[in-house]
Order: sequence, then structure tokens, then C-alpha cells
Amino acid sequence: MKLIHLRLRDFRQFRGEQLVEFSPAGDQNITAIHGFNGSGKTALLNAFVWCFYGQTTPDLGDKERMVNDLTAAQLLPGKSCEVFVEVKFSDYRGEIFVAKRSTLVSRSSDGKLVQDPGELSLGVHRESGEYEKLSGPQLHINRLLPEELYPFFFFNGERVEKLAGRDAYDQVEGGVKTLLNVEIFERSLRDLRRNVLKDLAKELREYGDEDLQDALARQLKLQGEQSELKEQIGVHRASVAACDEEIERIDQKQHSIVHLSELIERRRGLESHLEGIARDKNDCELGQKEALSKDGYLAFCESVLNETQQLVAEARQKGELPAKVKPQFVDDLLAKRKCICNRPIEEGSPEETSLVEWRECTGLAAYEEAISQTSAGIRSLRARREDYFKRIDALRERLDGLISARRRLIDELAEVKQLIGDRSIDEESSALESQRSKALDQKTEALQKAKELEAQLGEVELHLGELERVIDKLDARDEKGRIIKRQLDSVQRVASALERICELQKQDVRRSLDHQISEIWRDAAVKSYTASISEDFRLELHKVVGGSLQPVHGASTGEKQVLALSFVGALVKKAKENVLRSPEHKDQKGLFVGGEYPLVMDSPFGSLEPEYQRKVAEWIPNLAGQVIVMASKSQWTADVEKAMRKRIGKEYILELYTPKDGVAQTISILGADWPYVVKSDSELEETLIREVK
Amino acid sequence: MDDEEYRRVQREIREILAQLSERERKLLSEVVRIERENLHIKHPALKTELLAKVKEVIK
Repeated sequence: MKLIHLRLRDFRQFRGEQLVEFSPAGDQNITAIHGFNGSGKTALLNAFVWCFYGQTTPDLGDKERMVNDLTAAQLLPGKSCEVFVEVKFSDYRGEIFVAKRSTLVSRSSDGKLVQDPGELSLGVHRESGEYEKLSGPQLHINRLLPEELYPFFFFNGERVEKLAGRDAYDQVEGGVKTLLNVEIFERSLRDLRRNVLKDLAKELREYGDEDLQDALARQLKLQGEQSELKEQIGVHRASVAACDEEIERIDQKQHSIVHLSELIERRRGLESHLEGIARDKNDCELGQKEALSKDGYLAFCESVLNETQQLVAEARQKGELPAKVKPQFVDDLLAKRKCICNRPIEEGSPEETSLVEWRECTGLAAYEEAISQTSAGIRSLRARREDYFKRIDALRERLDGLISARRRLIDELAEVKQLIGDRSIDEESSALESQRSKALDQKTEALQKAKELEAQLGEVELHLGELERVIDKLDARDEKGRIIKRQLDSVQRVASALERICELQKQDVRRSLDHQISEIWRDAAVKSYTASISEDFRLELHKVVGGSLQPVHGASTGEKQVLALSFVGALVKKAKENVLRSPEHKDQKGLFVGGEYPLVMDSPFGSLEPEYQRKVAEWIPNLAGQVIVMASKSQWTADVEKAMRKRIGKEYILELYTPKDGVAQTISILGADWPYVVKSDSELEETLIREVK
Repeated sequence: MDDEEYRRVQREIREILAQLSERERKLLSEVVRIERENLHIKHPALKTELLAKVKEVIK
């Protein structure tokens, strides 16, 4: 999608018909829009969102009213006016579309203002030059830019850091899934499991014998338990995330109390160290469990090994194992009646008797081989036993070390916490500390509960798997029942394949986004943190502490904003790849086609620390093919101007006309002064979009 | 590296599909098609349509 123009009529602050033309992709891909606070920057961002989806962003005030105040005030009873937003854009093929949402606003005879729900129309200029109005415009728009994705492309820069917050995982994961059309697979899977399988099982219960009916009834019950457990786990996990968010909020507040910042840093370090120890302890315990379950029997086999070795030795001593003598050799001596020393072997002589006895022993070749293998086995088992003890001892030693380190850290942490919460030092900090302890307790409880439920879920899923195998072997009563059973089996296999495909694709796109986020972050970051997206779709920052990567707690708003923008940049790249990698999607009804997308950002520099402003300004033009940046005069600093000037292809000022006295001001662009806030005689404010040429 | 990873995933997907019978593969693609075509609209008869497709493809 490449934006060509935005046309407004009597929309919010913008009276009459006004136009913004956008700079196309290329070296000068930036369209800069300057506006005073309240001049309509957020309204312009919302013009796109309202036109495409009939929605508004959460930060828009008086969100139901689209008509311009002055136009509405001048509307006479019984009269109406049309309010519209029109966006002209091209898609990945270069076809030009015009989307227009309009609403009719009327003044009733009793003076009330009535606004109809509004209607979207979409037309396309075909290559032949024909203009065609498309039916189902919302479907087309959703294919070009799904509703779930717009918050990543049209956003308020000051709020974008929320994407890096703990409560945004679902939004991030949802965006990723939509981007890759994984959602369709998930819906297919859900409908097959929730609806189709249930119906088939219900049908089959009528045609199965008693065992099958019983197994199907148990399966239904377990499936119910499975969904209930999953739901409960989700609730507890969300509670853990909320507690983390609360703890982080308190940490930041405490950190801002000057005399506490050092203690807070110390607590962070200790908590982070403790988390590392908990992970290592867990690894050690897992190692112990694995060693015990795999080789634990070796600890108890000493007497068996000794006895076996004794038996082998005795057998050799008794001469039961002549070992090296081959039966053929003895047979040959007996046949020739001559020993190897040339002495004759007479029939019935003691020599012959001795040889016959030897011959009987040599016949036990299999026995000999088994004993020989057992001897080798004993040696190998003894070596493994020794190794097992060494491993267990090393793990025990490491675990002891970790436990005592943990004890020390807990004591130290308790001291630090006591100092932070000491009422005599600071009352505010004390209150915050008690809130923090409460949040920590709640988190521990929710985590514990989630773990218990996960263990229960594991049991239920194990039983379900066993039951599925049982059902698989049971047969239906008649041909009709057998057909239903076949259908049930097939749907189960298809659902399971869909589930695996879904997970593969989700993790593939996550890995690829992770790679891109870390690259994009490197270009803009001031500190030597690394950025990533975790397996459960959390945007995270890490730093190296003592040779290992530790999560960054209490990242600044600017850092979170840059992290979120890195994710947006990665998403833009991925959307572009979609078309290149899956050209077959282009013609499939319902699929998100992907392609190149613009970024429309309201106030992207607003909440950034000065050190990040210049970096982000240098970096934003490279995030997407086409970028629209809206900022106030105070946000557009000299650093921003210097970094962006060369990349600006189109530039506008939102001239605010206001009845207020003493607020008039100009804005200086390229050495000339332009009206920025203008005193007006009207009682109401309005904005004129003026192009800087 | 990214392309290599993408090809690996595509190969694994092909392997998963190869474990299904021909009819099951057809069922899978039909289910996905039905869901795709109804992605942005509420379709109360979707469940009936999916069940009918199962009955049609797996006999």
C-alpha cells in the first residue's frame, strides 16, 4: 500500500475540503506535517483509521463526532451536510484505489445534530483506464491491510511503547498471526475440534458398541476438562503479567526517589542474580532427575556385579571354559587317533577319555560367548557406575553451592528491602515497598497455581492421548458407524496436522522477526542492550551481566519506544516479504496479501530523551518505504530537523485558527516564517492544511 | 540464513502433509479454503458447511 493523497471534507478540525498529498517512496520518502497541540495531528491519524475501518484510536477525544464544529454550528434546522475522508492509494500491483467513508450530518427541526453511521465505498482504477466500484469494500480493505494490523502502521508515537509492555503480548502475537495468515489455520483447527469432532463423536455414540460409547463419553469429558484448565491457566498467566507490570511501575517510581536509586539498583541486581540462580538450580535438579531415571539402577547393582564376576571366575577355574580350544581341532585328533605330539590315541585309553571330556567342554561355545560378553558388560557397567557417581556428586556439589549462594542473596535482599521500606527514611518509599511485596506475593501465588494447573493439564492430555489410541482400536457396530469412525479419525489427523503446521509457521515468523528486531534495534539504540521477541511474543531488552544475558528491568520510555518501533520496522519488512514469498496468496480470497506499507506516526519524538531524538530521526526514514511524520514545533528539534531534512519530499503545516488571545505564533521552516497559530474572529477553532513549497 | 530457515519450515510442512492420506489432504485444503473465504464475515452456517465437507470427502 502506497498512500497518494488524503482528502477531507468538514472532518473534525478541518473545515471545507482540504487535501494532503504524500511523498512517494524513494530518497525523499518523508511527508512531514507540523502542527500545534490541538491543531489536528491526532485527527489526521484518525482520518485514515476512520476511513478504512470506521473506527477511531483510543486517544481521540469526542470520538463519535466527525463533523467540523464550525460547519455544524452553521447548519440550519432541516439541512444536512456530507462529512467524508477519502484516501487514494496503490496496492502491491500498482493498481490505484480510492477509499471513501462518508457520513451525512443533519440538523433536526428541534436543533439536534444527527449523524448517520457512515458508509465505506472503494473503487479501483483499472490499467485500461476504467474506474470500477468494488462490492464488499470492507473485505477488500481487510485483505490489503487487516484491521488487526493497522495499529502497527498508523499510531501515536507517544503511545507506541505500550507494545513493549507486558500487557501487549496478545496484540503482538495477534499481529504476527494475521501477518502470516496463521489465524486461518487456527480458526480451522478450532472449528474442527470444537464443532466438527464433537458432532461426529455424538453421531458415533449411536453406532458404537458399549466400549466405544464409553470411551467416547470419557473423551468428551476430558476434552471439557482440558479447555477449562487451559482457560484457568490463561487467567493465572495474565495475573502474573499484571503483577510484573505493577512491580515494574513501582520500581520506576522508587528509582525516581533520589536517595533510593542506589538501593533500587542493588535490589535489581540481587533479584536478577537470584533469578539466574533459580534457573541454574532448576537445570541442576533436572540433570539429577535425568541421571537418576536413566542410570539410577547402577547405584544398586554392586552386589549383582560382584556375584556375576564371581560366577565367571569360578566357571573358568572349574575348566568349564577352555576358551581357546575349537571343537573341530579335538574332533580331528580323535579321527586321526594321533596327538599333536605324535603319540597314538588308543581306543578306551585315558588319553581318549580326556580328549572326549575336552570335546564336551568345547561344545559350549555359545555359553563361552555369553560369559565373555557378560565379562565385557560387567566392565562397562562398572565404568558407567563410576561415571554416574561422578556426575551425581558434581551436580550435588553445584546444587549445594547454588543453595548456599541463594541463601546469602535472600538475606542480602531482605536487608536491602528493609532499607528501602524503612518508614523512618522515607514514608512514600515504605508504602511503595509494601505494595511491591503484595504484588510479589500475588505473583508467586499465581505462578504456583498456573504450574499446578499445567501439571493437571499434562495428565489430562496424557489420558486423552491414551483414550484416542483406545478409540482408534475399537470398532463400530455397522457400516454406517464405521464410516463415521473413519471420518472422526481423519478429522483428528487433519486437526493434528494443522496444529503442527500452525506452530511451525508461528515460530518461523517469530524467529525471523526476532532477527530483524535485533538488527533494527542496533541501528537506533544508545545503550548496549540487545532486543528480541521471546517465544511467547514478548518484546524484550537484555544486557550482559557477568558474562550472561539478563533482562533489562525498568527500561526508559524512550528505550521501550525504540524497541516497539524496531518491532514495527520488522513487521513492515515481513509484510513486504509476504508478497515475495507467497505470490499464490495474491489471488486467494480472504488472505492478507502483504506488500509494502507506509508508517503514519503522530508525535514519534514526543516522549524521547534528547539522546534518542536524533537517532530515531535518522532511523525512521529507513523503517518503511513511505513515512508520514506529524510533530509539534517543540518536538521538531534542531537535531530532528538536521537528521530528516534531506529525506522530506512533502511538507505541511496545520495552521490553527483560534479565538484565544496572545497565542499567535509562527514556525520557521527553511529560513522562512509560516503562520502556525493564528488569532481568529470566530468563536470556534479550525485548522487549515497549508503546503510548504 | 533466513531463506534457509524458511525452506526448512516449508519442507517440514510438506512432511506433515505427506503423512496424511490423499483424502485427508483434500479435506485439509477444503477446510482452510472455507475458513479463508469466511474470515472477515460472521457465518453461522460454517459448522454445517465444514461437517458436510467432511462427509463429502471422507467416505
